[in-house]
Amino acid sequence: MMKLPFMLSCHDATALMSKGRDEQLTLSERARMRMHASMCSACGNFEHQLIVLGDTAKAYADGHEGPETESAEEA
Amino acid sequence: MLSAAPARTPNLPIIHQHLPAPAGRLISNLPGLVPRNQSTKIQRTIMYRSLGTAWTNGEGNAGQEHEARGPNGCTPRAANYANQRAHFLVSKRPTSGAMANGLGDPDYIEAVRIDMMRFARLQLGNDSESEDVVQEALTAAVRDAGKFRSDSALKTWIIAILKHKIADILRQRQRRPILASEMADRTDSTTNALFDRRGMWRDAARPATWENPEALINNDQILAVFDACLDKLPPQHGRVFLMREVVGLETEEICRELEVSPGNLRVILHRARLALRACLEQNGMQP
Repeated sequence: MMKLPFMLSCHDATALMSKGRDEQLTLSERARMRMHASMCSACGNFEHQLIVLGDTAKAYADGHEGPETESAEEA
Repeated sequence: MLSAAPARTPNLPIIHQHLPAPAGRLISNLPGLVPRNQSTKIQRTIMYRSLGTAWTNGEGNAGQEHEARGPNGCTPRAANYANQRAHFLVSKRPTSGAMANGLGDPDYIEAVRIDMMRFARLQLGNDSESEDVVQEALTAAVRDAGKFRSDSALKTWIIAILKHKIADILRQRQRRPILASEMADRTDSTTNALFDRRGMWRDAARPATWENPEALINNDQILAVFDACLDKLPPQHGRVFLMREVVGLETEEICRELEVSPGNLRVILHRARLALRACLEQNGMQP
């Protein structure tokens, strides 16, 4: 993607996407991030994958507490 | 959190009150409690089962780190660590409701103690230090136990004490700045591998579309990959990522907990997510 002077770099766009999962973005941050994501498919993918990543982390943590492990613990 | 500490109530029927110091040690020797080495054994059993492997070398000994590697490239130590981490994070242990509060109930204490150990190990990465801090926290909690009517409030209180004590230890450690090496360099290798000088994705690192990620999340193989990927992160980063995404701590809480600035935390989380995403994609998230 061509970098225009007023546009975020992919690094900065992904930083905002990451930040957006943890904190409220400012209006301007959101606008710049959205604009970048609309033009950059890689960052669009990244944004979606952040959600998958969080879900995977939860599944990963849950996975270790399956029925088998629980019974092992109680034994 | 500790500013809300209830005043001590000296007239409580507390069994440990008159024990000689270090009273904490004796808590684990009360009748009905699982002895420490036995609970360690149980934990190890859990680890083997959940990994479906037959490692016999499960001790958290740094020197043995490279001896045995599992099918996912995890060392037993790494797997054990991750397992403890995961266990703490999603502890769903039922609380015993029968008593006004659980410190009179050995099973309850042991259950809480196991959770505390997981938490302490996760934070301190050191067994003997963890053991000490857990015993200290339990001893301190026992003094105030009568204040609490429900087990969940009591447990929150005990964990708060534990966190406080762990924070003290970490704070002392961080006088030598643990995070400085991980944080200070702006020419971070993760970032450099992924982005060019202008901050645009390098071609090889461009995130591809993940087909049907929902199916993959529940795939054991992917979870094993995820475990290995977590393990490749700097320890602080993986820990912070899980604190945020799984435990669901707010950023201010994590900052307070780890004594990092909000800006540093943002950088840690960003890098952790970049690295995890890349690692998952390289190792099969893409069907």
